[in-house]
This record gives sequence, structure tokens and C-alpha cells, in this order.
Amino acid sequence: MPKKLLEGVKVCDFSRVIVGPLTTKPMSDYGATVVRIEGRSNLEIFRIQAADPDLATQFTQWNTGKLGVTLNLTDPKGKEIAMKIAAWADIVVENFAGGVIERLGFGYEEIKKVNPDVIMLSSCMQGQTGPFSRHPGWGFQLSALSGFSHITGYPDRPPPELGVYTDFITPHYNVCLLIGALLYRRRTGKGMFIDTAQFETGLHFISPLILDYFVNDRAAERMANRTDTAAPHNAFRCKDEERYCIINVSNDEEWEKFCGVLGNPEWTREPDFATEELRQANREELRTLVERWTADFTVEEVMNRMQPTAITSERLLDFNDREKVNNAYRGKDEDRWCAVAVTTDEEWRNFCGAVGN
Amino acid sequence: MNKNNMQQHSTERYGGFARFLHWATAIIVLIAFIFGPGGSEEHVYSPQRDFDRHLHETLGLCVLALVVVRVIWRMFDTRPEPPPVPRWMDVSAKAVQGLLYVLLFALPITAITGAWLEGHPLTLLGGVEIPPLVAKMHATGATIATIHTWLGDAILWLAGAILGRIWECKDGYVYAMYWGGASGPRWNSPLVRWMESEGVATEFIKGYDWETLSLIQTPPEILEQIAAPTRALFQKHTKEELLEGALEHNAQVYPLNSTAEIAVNPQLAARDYWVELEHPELGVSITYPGPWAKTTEAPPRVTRRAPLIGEHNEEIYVKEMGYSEDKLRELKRDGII
Repeated sequence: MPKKLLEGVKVCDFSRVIVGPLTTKPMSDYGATVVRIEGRSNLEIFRIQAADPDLATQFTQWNTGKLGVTLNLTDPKGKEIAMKIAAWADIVVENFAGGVIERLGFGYEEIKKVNPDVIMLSSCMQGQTGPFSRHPGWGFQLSALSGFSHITGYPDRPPPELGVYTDFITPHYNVCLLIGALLYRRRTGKGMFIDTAQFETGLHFISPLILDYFVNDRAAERMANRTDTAAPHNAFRCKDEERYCIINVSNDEEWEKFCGVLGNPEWTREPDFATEELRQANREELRTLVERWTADFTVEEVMNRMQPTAITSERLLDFNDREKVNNAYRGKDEDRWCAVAVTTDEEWRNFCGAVGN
Repeated sequence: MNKNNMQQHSTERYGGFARFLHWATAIIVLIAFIFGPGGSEEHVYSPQRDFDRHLHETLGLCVLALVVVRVIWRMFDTRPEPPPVPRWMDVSAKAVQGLLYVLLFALPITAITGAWLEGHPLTLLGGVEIPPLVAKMHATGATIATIHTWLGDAILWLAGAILGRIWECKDGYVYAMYWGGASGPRWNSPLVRWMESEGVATEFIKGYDWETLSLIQTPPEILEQIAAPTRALFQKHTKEELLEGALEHNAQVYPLNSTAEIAVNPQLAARDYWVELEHPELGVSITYPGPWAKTTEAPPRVTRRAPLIGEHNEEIYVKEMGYSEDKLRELKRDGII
């Protein structure tokens, strides 16, 4: 049995919810010993909100393979024990709101006194320094602050709810930083303090639009299904009403193939659609014409015609897609859910039978 | 829960039968909405939609019956005293409630008249048919059927989307969410205290027991009473003011930033986030997002712009890999590099 990549690496994990746990999960999966510290009277949100705190779906997912210990971090005896774990560890990870870990008495400077070459990662919303460092929040709000919410949705409607998107960005960077820090410590014998912010890592996932602003002075707005690099590019209504097919035609070559699939109707030869630029400029008219064609076919028929010619085309599944029930339904026991996925007509009939038609 | 709270609750709640009517109606409307065949007349009356349509029409009639019972019950039942709120809020809560009642009536009525005017019977589960009781006027029927679908969307919007998380402010939107259950008091209170400091908090929101909040089960008229002062606070301010205020009040309110606003964000400036990278080929430098971490040792750095095509062929192939200049020319000539 070969050794695991991080076997022997010891992690003291004060973290909770997603960013911290999703940072230490890959470490644990790679063989590190991750000891998760939690207070019995101060459990994290996923545990609190579940009917059975030990089987909270989100918690169990982000914390596989870790070891769990309970400690009251506000009690002097609890603090003493926690400091022992911090002294034992190679890496300490926390993702409280900025400044909280210092108030608890486990700031980097304190831990360094008992563990001089410790690697410590603090991962909060806006970083440990600066005027907004203490502002608490969640991935919900950080997806707004980092610009993702503003550009999502239709231009004439309010932006939609995006969820905790940035929670899933920061851990990638954190894991890379921790492994880099381990290599650095092996080379130099020195530990380090690492400060990451959901705000700053999140911006790297939107950086093309940020460069567009700095270079072209163009602030991105919501643009629904439109893109500047392809036309047609949209969800088109098909024969089976309230179902849509996504079609993306990005260049002249694809446009030729696309016209071929449509049987080269007259309008595809009109000068208005002769170049990418013109198709982009006349995209609304183009949309109407394409939709007139898709309206004669089911979503699957459109897909089956487009895909062999390498035109990007995919079913759009949404809440209106009644043939395909795919969602989480609240069970009898409060706050516990079951997932139902129905993908074929046969499965739909079975599903109807199971719920008593 | 202490005794005082319990007493307070018993006077705040509707009676058991009224609550049964409320939830039965809500659940049936939701199921009817899900199974609503929707779309064109042809689509609605296609044989594949028979089951959906029969269920939809049966449930619709149940809604009508329940609303009639509910209105009659309302006349005799003692209802809880409405909580003391400013007049404008009382009016808006009543308006929402009134509108819901109107919709609950209008929905089945438009469905029935629409179908009958189009010349279709009502068909219930089990195949029971109620033939049209009015003469056929197809175009009018089709219009009324369309209005029915709009009303269906409207009722779900009214009943479900009142306590959203994206709020309009003076110059855009901010994100703020209310938590229910055990987390409610801790995370919602800073926002309420902020409302208080600006004089927009109502007695209702100040006294609300956040532990009881559930976005699924709390009735819309309560959600609206939470939403109204929240809207009032946010509409007074710009995004920038709200971000400052949120920090001051420790409330989890954040602006929906555009890239232009991110570019001048004070926190990023204070952390010296942005870096300038030279683009010698353009004769300019461009601002880029900086390193994704601050570290006390060996900090990550964004050092130079992305390479141009083949920019480092010579540096890597000749200096690093030991190929001769001649070999490099040959590889280039043959289209290898």
C-alpha cells in the first residue's frame, strides 16, 4: 500500500461551514491527520439547522476523513487544551470573521510562541487587514461584493439570488497555498501566516471583466443569454412548449454548418447575417427566425440535428421542465430532504406510480 | 419558551381551523400550479396532458370551495389583533392580503369561464365532465385563459417571493438575508438595531421572535411586515452608504458591486490589492487583480503579463533546454515551434 501524499502532516482545524472545511477536506483525503475542533454549545450552522446534527448533509460532505473533538474555547481550560493541539500541528486553519481568532487567543503570534514553525491559514471575507476586515458575512454576500450577482440575469430585471458562489472559489487557492507553505518549510525550516479573502480570490474568477473595465472603461452589466462572442447564442423555445434548447454559434464556419442543419432557408443568406458582426448586431431578429425553426422540433430533435455537426446545443432543464422532475423535496421529517431525479419518460411513469398517480 | 412568550403566542395566532384552511389552500394552489398544463390551447388539451389538466381543474375547484369556506369562516371567527404598526405598513400588509384573496377567487373563475367560452368542458379526476354553461366565444375565452396564467404566476410571486435577499437601494441593489431558527436572533438583530437607529424599525419587527421565522411556513402577511421596514432602510441609502453602515452596525449587508465599483473599493485599496503590469508591446501598463493571498513569508506575486505567442521560445529552448540557434531556426521553418 503506497503512502498517501500528505501522510504524517498534522492539521489543527478551527474552521466551519464551507471555506475552511473545504480547504482541509482535500488535505484529509490526501492522508493528513485533520483534527476538527468544535464547541458543543456553539455548533456550526449546518449542524444547527439539521434534524440530526451528526447527519447534516452539508457537514458530512465537507468533512470526510477528519477527526472531531469538542472543546469550549471560551473556557480557560478549553483554551489550554486547544493551544496544545495547535502546538502539536504542522498547520492551523481557521475561517472565523476577521479578528475573531485573535480575540479567542489563538492568533498567529500566540500560536508561534508554542509552535515556532507553524503554518497558519486565516481565510475570512475581506482579509485580516484594512477597514472592512472585521465585517462578518457569508458566501451569499461575497458573491454580491465580488461582482458576480450584478452581472447575472436579465438587464431589465433585478439580479437573481446566486448562492454562496465564492465559498467554492477560495478553497482552491487555500489548498495550493498550504501545500506551497509545506514545501517552503521543508526547504527553509520556516513557517508562515497566510491571509486569504473571499473577496480577493473571488475577483480572480471575474478578472476578464475587471480588465475590460480598467482597459476599455466598460463596466459589465446583466446581459441575459447574450454574449459578445457568439450569435445565435440563446435558449430557443421548442415544439414541446416551455422547453428550451440552447444553441451557440461562435464563428463563420459554425454558421455555415448551422444553416446547413436548418436546410439553408432563404433568410440565412440575407446580408444582415453575412458576418459575425452583423449577426451580433441583428441578434434579436436572428433569434426570432431561429425560434421559428426550433418551434417545429422537440428539444431532443434539435439536439440530435445540431450535435453531429458540432454545433453546441443542449437541453435546458428548468423548473418548468415537467418531464424531468429533478429537485429536492421536503420529507415528512422537518428539515430533511430527499432528492428526486427523473430523466426518462419511463422513469416519469414509474415516479407517477410511486406517488400514487 | 417561558410563560409570557406562550401567552403572547396564543393571542397572535389564528385558530386551528383557519390555519388548516390557510395551509390547505396554499398546498393545493402550489400543486395545481405545478401540474398546470400551460402553453397554447392545443397543448393544454392534448391527450398527453389529460392527467395534468384533470388534476389541475379538480384542485382549482377545491381552491374555490376552500376560499368560499374561508371567507364565511372569517366572518364568524375571532381573528388575532394585528400587531401595532405604522399606518402605511398596516395598509400595505392589508393590501397584500386583500390582493391574495382577490387572486384566489379570480384564478378559478378565469379558468372556468376561459375554458367554457373556448368551448371546453371542465373535466375532473375520474372523468366527471361539467359541460359549458355559457355560449362559445372562442377569442374572449382564449384571452381569459391567458389572464388565468398571468394570475397564476402573480399569486406564487405574491405568496412566495416577498422576503427575498436582493433589495433595491438608491443606486442599485444590496444583499441581505433573514435567518430563521436558532441562527435568527443572532444574525438578524444587528439589522433591526440599524433600522431602529434610523427610525424605520416598527414595533412588530423589534418584537418579532426570529426563531419562529420560516421562509416556507411563515405566512406572507408576516413576511411583508418584515420586508417593509427593511425596504424602507435600504431605499434611503446608496450602496456605498449601506456598506459603511453595515460595518458600523455589524450587519451582514453587502452591495451588489459592478466592476466599476470594485475598482474603487476602499478595502481593496487599503490592502494594496491591485497590481500594474507592463505591456511593453502596447507601451502601457494595465491594472490586474493582485495576489490571492497575503503571507508573512515568500508572498505570491503577480509579476508580469501573460506571454505573447512564442515569446519565450529562445529563452527556454536555447538557454534552458540547450538547443542551438540553428536548430531553433530549423524547428521554426518546419512548423514544429
